[in-house]
Amino acid sequence: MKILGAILSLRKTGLFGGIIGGAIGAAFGVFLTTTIRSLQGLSNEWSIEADSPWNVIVLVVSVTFTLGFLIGVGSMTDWLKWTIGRPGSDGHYHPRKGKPYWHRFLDMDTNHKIVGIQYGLLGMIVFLVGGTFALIFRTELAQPGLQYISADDYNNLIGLHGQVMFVAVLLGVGAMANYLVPLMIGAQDMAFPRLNGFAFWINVPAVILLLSGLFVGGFDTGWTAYPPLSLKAQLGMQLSLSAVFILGFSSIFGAINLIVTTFLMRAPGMSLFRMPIFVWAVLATSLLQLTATQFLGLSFLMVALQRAAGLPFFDPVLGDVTLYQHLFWFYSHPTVYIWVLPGLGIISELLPVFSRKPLFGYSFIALSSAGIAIMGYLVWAHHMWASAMDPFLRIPFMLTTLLVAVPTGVKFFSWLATMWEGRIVFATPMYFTLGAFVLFLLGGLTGPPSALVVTGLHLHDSHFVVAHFHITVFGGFIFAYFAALYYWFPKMTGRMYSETLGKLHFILMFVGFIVFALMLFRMGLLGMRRRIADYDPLLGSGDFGDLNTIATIAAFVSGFSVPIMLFNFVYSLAYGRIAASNPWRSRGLEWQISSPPPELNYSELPQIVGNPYDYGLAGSVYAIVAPQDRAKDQLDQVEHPEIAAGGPALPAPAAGD
Amino acid sequence: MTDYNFYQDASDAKPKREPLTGYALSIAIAVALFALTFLEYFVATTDDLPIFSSNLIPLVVIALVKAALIINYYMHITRIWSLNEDGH
Amino acid sequence: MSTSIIERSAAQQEVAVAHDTHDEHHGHHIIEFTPQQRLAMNRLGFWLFLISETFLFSGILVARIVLLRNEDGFTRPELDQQLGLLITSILLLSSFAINFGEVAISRGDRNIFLAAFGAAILMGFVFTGGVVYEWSIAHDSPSESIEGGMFFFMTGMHALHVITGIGFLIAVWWNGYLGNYDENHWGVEASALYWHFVDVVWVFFYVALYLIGNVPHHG
Repeated sequence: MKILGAILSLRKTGLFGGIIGGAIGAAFGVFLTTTIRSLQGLSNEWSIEADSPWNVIVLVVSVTFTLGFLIGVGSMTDWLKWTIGRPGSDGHYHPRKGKPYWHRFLDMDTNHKIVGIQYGLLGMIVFLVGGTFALIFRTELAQPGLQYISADDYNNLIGLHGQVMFVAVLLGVGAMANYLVPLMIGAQDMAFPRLNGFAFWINVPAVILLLSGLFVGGFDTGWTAYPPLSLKAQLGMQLSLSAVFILGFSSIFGAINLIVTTFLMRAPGMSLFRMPIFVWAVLATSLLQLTATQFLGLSFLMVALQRAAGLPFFDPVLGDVTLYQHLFWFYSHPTVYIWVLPGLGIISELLPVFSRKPLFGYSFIALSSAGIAIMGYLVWAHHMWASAMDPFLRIPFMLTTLLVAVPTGVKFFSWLATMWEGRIVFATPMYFTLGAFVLFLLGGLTGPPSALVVTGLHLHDSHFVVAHFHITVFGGFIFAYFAALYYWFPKMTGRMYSETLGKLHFILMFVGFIVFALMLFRMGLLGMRRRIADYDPLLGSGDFGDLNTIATIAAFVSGFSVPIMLFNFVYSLAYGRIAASNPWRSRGLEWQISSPPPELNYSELPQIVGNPYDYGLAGSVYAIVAPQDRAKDQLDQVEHPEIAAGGPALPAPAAGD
Repeated sequence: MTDYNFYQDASDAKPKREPLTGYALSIAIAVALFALTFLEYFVATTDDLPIFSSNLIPLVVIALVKAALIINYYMHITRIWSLNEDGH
Repeated sequence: MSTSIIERSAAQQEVAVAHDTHDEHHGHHIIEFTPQQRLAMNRLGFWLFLISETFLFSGILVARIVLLRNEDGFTRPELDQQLGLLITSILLLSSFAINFGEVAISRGDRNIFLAAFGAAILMGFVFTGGVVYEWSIAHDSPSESIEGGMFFFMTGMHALHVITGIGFLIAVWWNGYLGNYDENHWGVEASALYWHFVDVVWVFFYVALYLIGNVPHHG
């Protein structure tokens, strides 16, 4: 009965309104476009082929659907009111009678913590969908020959896996950035709370559009959508192009919000070089997102327009096919830094806490994020060794690519020095941090072989590159993201997760993934091509079948560790121990206030008086948090009433203590 | 160096420069922009330019000057740096 | 009221109640920004948006430079030069009107503001009409030559922003008509920024489409 009531109450949520609004918008778009086309004497015949008239209709419908959804969800209400000269709402949450608290997560909400959790939840759903795609085609690859799915399905699934995971990772970045940045800089919320909620809700219609492509033929180009193949792909291509284009708005608006927040709203005393490293990383990421995203949007828009209206940009005779690759990689190379920079920020954030030592080389780590972001712009053509690009360009791009190792190396050596002689606390977040460290290192070491022209040409489009990319993203993002989820879970919920299940998750995921990656590296070196549904088992060293079988099993082990984490979180949310407000004895600002943090985080601006990572230095103080904001259960409050945060490191707590 | 942040901003201490806004400035910039536009048109449609063999460079330079005028005098880009004072 | 993402259990209730009572005294204290600070945030945010848009239009210009050239150097679509100069002048004039109106509202001359913005909106429509007229008389078809394709794409992307800008200006004009702007007129400033930005884009697009390169001779 209670569950039925909860389901029925869903009709009052913004999500429901959004779906209704989106349906109305889509219907309106179809009606409008087909009517105009009929009046012009054009055909509206339904077809999913590349030259279908629905390429035009789909473009319009994507826009009207998204707008309808965004209006229906309530994310534009205030702006529309302002437009006609009416006052909007005050932008804060007010409980309403008959609306349960959990509806906040399905409504338009302006609070950055709610928006962050919304990003996290949607990101997790999308991540599971993308992971399922991967497991399906990995099963197909386990044995030579086609056993389970057709070659077309295989192609659709690898393309969608790429784009869906792309979205999932961006959502994960959004989750961490939105939840943590205002807390970490001592602000009450983001600079533009309405824009923040709006930017989240753009993702939902975009994801719906992206996944619906599967039902109209999908696209068989891989996630990169290179023309001329993408000009000949089915209607699903058009949906994916418009979905990613719309998603770009979320990235840009989110980035604007984070940059303004980080620059202007830091607490008194928090100079740039007293910001937590994670905030530095988010700043660098946001600058990349702000600028580079436009190039992805542009390249996808140009393909979409060529499909819809025949503008011959990438026509092999009239236009230039290689131009697409330049525009595409000018975004899509920096995008991997958009993913990994926050992850690397998390590693820098967690290592000092669990080593109980100051972060080594703070300013170098901070600036290396900026360095990686700048270098990220200068290396895009290393994806194009095998394209029609002028071979002369290979050398400068190879050199810039190798230079990325310098700022990345700075981070690695700083991390090593941070852990050196530290009193390392082996809690689940630390396991994931160390896992991220190892995997990202392996990813980094397999970078130069892929980047050098001599070896890169051989490894191009092989499973070696696939493994290099996946191990980098797992190390640079996925493991760091999971570390962050475990680390901030007690802060977000006020509950402690199960340490046993957390460690089980780590071991399965790490072992599974590293075996998977090593198999792929070997196969790739021996010549196993990517993006093919079937292969000759006798190629290479004659054991592609075995290697693929092991890789598939390892992928399943790794994949099925994620439900353990989800179970852990859901179970702990309901039945977990009440967590201390600062279980890790962290010096971070957000750990000085109660868990979960109050609606507006701080009732008074904290004063920043020292460096953020001086763990174990006697008498060092990072911040003074107003007494009424401080959590009541803090040990150091009792022992050092004058010190708000930090102070001498207490004995390393047992995990979860 | 002052930090670009509300709570570390020292620009309050700076004497407020009298902003060069007003109807007269608005008209002056418009006149300059029109003059440059016609110059552009002249440069592009004249076949034998006295100085440049190609009209590409002067055209790009004029366009950059026009953009700079608009960005500075019509869009007031410098207002970004006035955090705690009214930039009008 | 403290945030809890689940229904509170009995054990948590105690902690939560302690926080709630405590919040009544201190919590929920919104640290308001001064109007100047709010303005500074809005300005920085809007400029960041414009920087982002700059990358979009730079990308389009890069595509134009790469695509529109042959062995003799840059090519360009065959267009009516007088018409191009005319619509360019109209857009420039509208930008001037916007600036004039912004000066007016900051001095409290609401009627001049309304007249100037109204004129700019009209000129925006005239500009859009000019582009549409150019489309109708275009020498190159959008799909049969790259010059035609690029011309329709660049003018189309720009016109899309002009139309967005007109909508923005109409909303601001209406709010000005209702008397919603005083010394705090961020809406006016934002719409003006956007309109000038669209003008700056056209400064470069005009050169890129009309002035540089030669019309190629198709067989």
